[in-house]
Amino acid sequence: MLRRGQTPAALLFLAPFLITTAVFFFYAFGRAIYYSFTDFNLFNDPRLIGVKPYADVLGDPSFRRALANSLVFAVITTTLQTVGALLMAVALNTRIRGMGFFRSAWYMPSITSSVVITLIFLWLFQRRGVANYLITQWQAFQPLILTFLGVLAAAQVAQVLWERSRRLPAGWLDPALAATSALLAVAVTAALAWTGVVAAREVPPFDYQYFADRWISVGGVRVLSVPMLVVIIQNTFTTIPTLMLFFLAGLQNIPGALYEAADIDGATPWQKLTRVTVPMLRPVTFYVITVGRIGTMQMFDQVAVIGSAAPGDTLITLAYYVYSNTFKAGAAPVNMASAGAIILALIILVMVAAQRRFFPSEAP
Amino acid sequence: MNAPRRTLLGLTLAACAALGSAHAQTTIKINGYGGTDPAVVGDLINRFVKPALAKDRITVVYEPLQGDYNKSLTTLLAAGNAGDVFYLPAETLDGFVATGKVLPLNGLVNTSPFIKSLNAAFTRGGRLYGVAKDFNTLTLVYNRSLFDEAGVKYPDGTDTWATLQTKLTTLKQKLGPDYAGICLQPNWDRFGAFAFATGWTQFDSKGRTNLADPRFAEVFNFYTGLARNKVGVQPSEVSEGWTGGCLKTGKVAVGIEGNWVVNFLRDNAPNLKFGTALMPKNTKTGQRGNFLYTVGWAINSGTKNRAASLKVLNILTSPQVQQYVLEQGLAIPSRTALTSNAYFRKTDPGAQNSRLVFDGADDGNVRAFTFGPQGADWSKPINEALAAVLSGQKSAADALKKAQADMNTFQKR
Amino acid sequence: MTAPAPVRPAVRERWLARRRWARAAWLYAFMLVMSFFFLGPFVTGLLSSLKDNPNEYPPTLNIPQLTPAVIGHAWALGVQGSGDGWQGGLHPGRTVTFEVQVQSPPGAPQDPPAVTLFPYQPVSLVAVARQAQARDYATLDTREVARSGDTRTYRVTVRSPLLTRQTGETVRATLTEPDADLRARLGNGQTVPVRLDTPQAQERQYELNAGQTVELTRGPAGYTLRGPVFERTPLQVDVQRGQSIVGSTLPPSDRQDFGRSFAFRNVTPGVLGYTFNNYRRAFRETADPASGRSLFFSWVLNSFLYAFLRVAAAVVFCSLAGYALARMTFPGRNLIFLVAVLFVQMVPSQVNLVSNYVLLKDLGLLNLWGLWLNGLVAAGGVFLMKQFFEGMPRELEESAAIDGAGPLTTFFRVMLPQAGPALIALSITQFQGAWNDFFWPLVILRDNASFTLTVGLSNFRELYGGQGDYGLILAGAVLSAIPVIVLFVVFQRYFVDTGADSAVKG
Repeated sequence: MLRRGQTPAALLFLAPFLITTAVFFFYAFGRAIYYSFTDFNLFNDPRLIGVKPYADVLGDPSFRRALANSLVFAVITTTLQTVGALLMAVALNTRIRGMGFFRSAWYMPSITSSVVITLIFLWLFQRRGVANYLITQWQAFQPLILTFLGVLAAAQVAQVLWERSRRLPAGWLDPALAATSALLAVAVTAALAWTGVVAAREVPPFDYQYFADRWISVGGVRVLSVPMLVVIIQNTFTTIPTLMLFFLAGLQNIPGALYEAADIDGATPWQKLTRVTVPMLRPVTFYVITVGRIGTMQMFDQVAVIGSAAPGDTLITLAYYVYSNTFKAGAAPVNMASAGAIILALIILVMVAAQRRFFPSEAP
Repeated sequence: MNAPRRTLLGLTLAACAALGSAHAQTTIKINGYGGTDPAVVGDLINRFVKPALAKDRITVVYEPLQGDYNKSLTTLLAAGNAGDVFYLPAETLDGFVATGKVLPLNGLVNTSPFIKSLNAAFTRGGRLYGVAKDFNTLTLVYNRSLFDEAGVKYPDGTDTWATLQTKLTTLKQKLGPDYAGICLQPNWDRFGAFAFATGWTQFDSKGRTNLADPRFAEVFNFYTGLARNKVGVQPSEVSEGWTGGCLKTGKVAVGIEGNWVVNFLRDNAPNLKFGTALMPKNTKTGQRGNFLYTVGWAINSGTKNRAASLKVLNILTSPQVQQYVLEQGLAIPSRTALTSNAYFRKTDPGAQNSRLVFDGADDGNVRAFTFGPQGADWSKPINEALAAVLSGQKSAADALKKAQADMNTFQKR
Repeated sequence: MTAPAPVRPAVRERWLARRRWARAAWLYAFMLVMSFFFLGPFVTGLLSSLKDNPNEYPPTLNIPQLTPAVIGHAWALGVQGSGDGWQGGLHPGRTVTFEVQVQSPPGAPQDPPAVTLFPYQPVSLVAVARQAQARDYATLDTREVARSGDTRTYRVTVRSPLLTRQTGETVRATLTEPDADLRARLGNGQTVPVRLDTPQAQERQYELNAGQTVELTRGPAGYTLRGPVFERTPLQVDVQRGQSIVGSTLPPSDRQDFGRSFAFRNVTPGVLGYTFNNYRRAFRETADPASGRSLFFSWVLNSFLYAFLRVAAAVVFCSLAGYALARMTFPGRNLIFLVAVLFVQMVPSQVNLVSNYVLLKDLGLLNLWGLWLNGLVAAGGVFLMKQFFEGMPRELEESAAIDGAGPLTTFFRVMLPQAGPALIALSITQFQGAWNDFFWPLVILRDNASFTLTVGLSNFRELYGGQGDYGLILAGAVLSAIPVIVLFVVFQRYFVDTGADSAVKG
């Protein structure tokens, strides 16, 4: 056994890691803490002034907005992406032909850089962009879509009742019947459109400016800005595929016996999801939420790329607040930037600790 | 006055430096914008600076700062390795003056040949911190085809706010829903020029901004009133980010822009037929208002080669250099004497625009584009009010009230 | 729900089979819909990046750049102008014909359209010297060739003159800084003097800038100037009020004046210059005037270099550290793991912004190497390798120890070769991290030529005072995604398994 005298070798192995971490992390961390108690503005010799920078930061409306934006963004995005990824993983947990193709296709948003995706989303969500165009089309074709859905529902009800009268155990969402209903609905809608009974409407182009100073308020408090909502959509879009793969891997580790037992107990699919799948996925969920929270609290790229396209403080986040207060024209409140960074770090640490404390990571 | 003494000091220093440079090669480093500037300044250095300074054994290098210039310059100044000479944008002058790293030039540079309002833009508390490199003002840039089609006369130098509004309204009526009269950015950087025309000032003697001034209400109502009946549109309404983009679409008749729009249109709407007019006069005061956008040459107060830096600065702002820059169509020169330059008499739309931009610096209430000592956030209350009214979310009165309240909170910080 | 009454087994069997099929069909439909959702933004971005105006509204899928007939015309015009159907351009001594149909109803003016060449050289991020413009050299001739009803077809002939009388071999060259004579650098790097043997050529001596591509003729009189090579042939057609332009060989790139003015930014585009114009621009219009190299190309190389360096460092250092933490005993092991691995991962990088920036600045390392050093050993990578080594059987090391191998030998000879899957996982995460890194490159890289792709691309938005040119932006976005997509396709299996495993085990 390699027991004795391992310390020198271990330190040798760890040296590159420890040295760079010491210089670029701990030294830097210490300096940031020091600056956050001084009057440093890049141009003077820092002088200790106590907690004033923290008071200044907390009194700065931009910082408070950044804090609120970051928290709102982190909470909504983490929730959306975790739930979305879980549901999609459950839906996809089947072995079918061509699965490889779909996995690759779906994974695409996750491999492209946030800068690229942000640029594309910025383009999609212009006032006369593709997003608004699709909404316009949706409005224009509403009569046809409603006809389709109406016929679909009617056909489905009729078929299920018919099957039940033949004593077959048809559920309301029976896939085979739904397929027939869908084909029927397509045919009917096409026929109606052909004969001119229903037709697309003339609608003015949907005109909504996403990157404007618009807010969703709750009780008079500005909670979420519309530009931030777009970034949330973008972020969810890019992270769901990765997280979904985590969940898929987790799902494949759940013993099939558990589901068989549930089947014997006559559990519905919903019960199987909530009583078996979700609890068994708890370690993965824990990981996904931790990673998601740390990532979303540090959101920077999107804000920096969108920049002036989103007005005012609609998009400012803590990470961006720190960056923009560090590099300004001339003297910059670096002490405030450092204080802001320390506060951001504390928030993340508290979040992680709280999650560890209150949400167990072990499967039951 | 201690100006003579300072001149003397400057001369002594120059003499010392001259003595020093007799022994060794001096290198002057210049920091400036990236993008297209390195090629331009490099050309100037090769053509003018190097030949003039070769005998003094002074060499000059240009180091462009990419990305956000202000941020980069700040970090370099802080680290003590910024250039001896650097670009200094007038709009961020206050922040840099606060660092104490910009050398006051009083008595070191003769500023009388330069346009007065440009010198004012670089002066704080009686000290001059930069010499204008070039400048821009705003003009009315219009699409000739739209005016022709509507049978409306082009905007010109005699237009007042009222006559311009009439022209635009008529044009809109004739051309219908697909076209618009003017592109309005919900921003201080266009709106402010109109505000100055009324005689309103950005800061009073105590440094406070008064948005409750009736003159401010007048300009606010005029500017937002242009949007009525879609005579004026915001750039985003035609899916563009700025006025230049509006013009490019060929659907908006007038944009308020500086000389930079000429290059943009040449690249992005090569067959657009455009013309330029001076900003309209305020109907009551009969004055135009305008912004000066200017970037100056400044000297690092920490430079070890002050005399050599001054020489370089003087060459870069010399008549020959400015004439060259103008004739190459690169920028608008800051010397008053160049007003009679042949380039300004050329008839192509680009040269005409240059002439009116040049003339604009000296006509009416022209103020440097600045946000004051608190930085760009100063304009936020005004921008928010403009955006709210232009997009129909608020009435002008409500928006103004909120803007004043926000401005007071901001200035109390 | 009441229990269903028994039905005949055969019926029930058929019924269940039908259900299985239908369920699969729905699943496929769902997957297809989701694929559209996940790929949609990229595909629309890709298609729009081919358009002249990516912001056109309503957006249409009828893209002339993808229409075979139009591509055919672009090819043919490229061949006429330069002999090269891919690159296009207008070369000396060539003739190009272009057709325009003008409708002049009775009562409207019946004049032919006004056809002119116009100067066109867009600026992107960097200034390049003014290039020779076809307008200043080529001649135009417009004549009516056909008429049907009130529509007339006009044939525009663009002739690029030959500036030499000498005959001989034609060679491509680039003009260099002129002195008393004009000089040009040939393809083989040799610089030769260029003679101007006609008055037409001599007129042009002072108009041509260094960097201009030209054609020379090599003959008994040495090298003579055949003429400049024009990258584009920009053509503008204007008709009068009452007339309308109803057709042209290529669709126009700009319409103004109520459809009475058509601009064709290039009537000799070739296929690359037409369909992939924005892509070609991303490379060509970012050419650094000092080195002549495309900045975009440099950014791609920088991104690759940075990603490669990060991967290399991670493979060596992260696995060393991970192994030490997993298998060696020494005082403070748990503390190091807790503080240097777990804690570090939780603290946002903004905390270290000021200090690291100032430090690297003082070291003169505000470049790719500083960027690399700053993120040399990723805590996440150490974590991953530690988890992996902990899962490996101890027998391997024990047998190595019996053979008397030291820790280094054991590690490099025995353990590392076994770590293949983990190393691939590590490499992939590090590559992706480096390729997509934005914050630190933005802070640390200061020079145009040393940017990585993410920072450079975000600079495309700075064009024209922060407005951006979406043609370039979308083309750049697509180009920057390609290497990662290729990597992904090749290493797909590992990509998909990588994070998942660490999640399940972690």
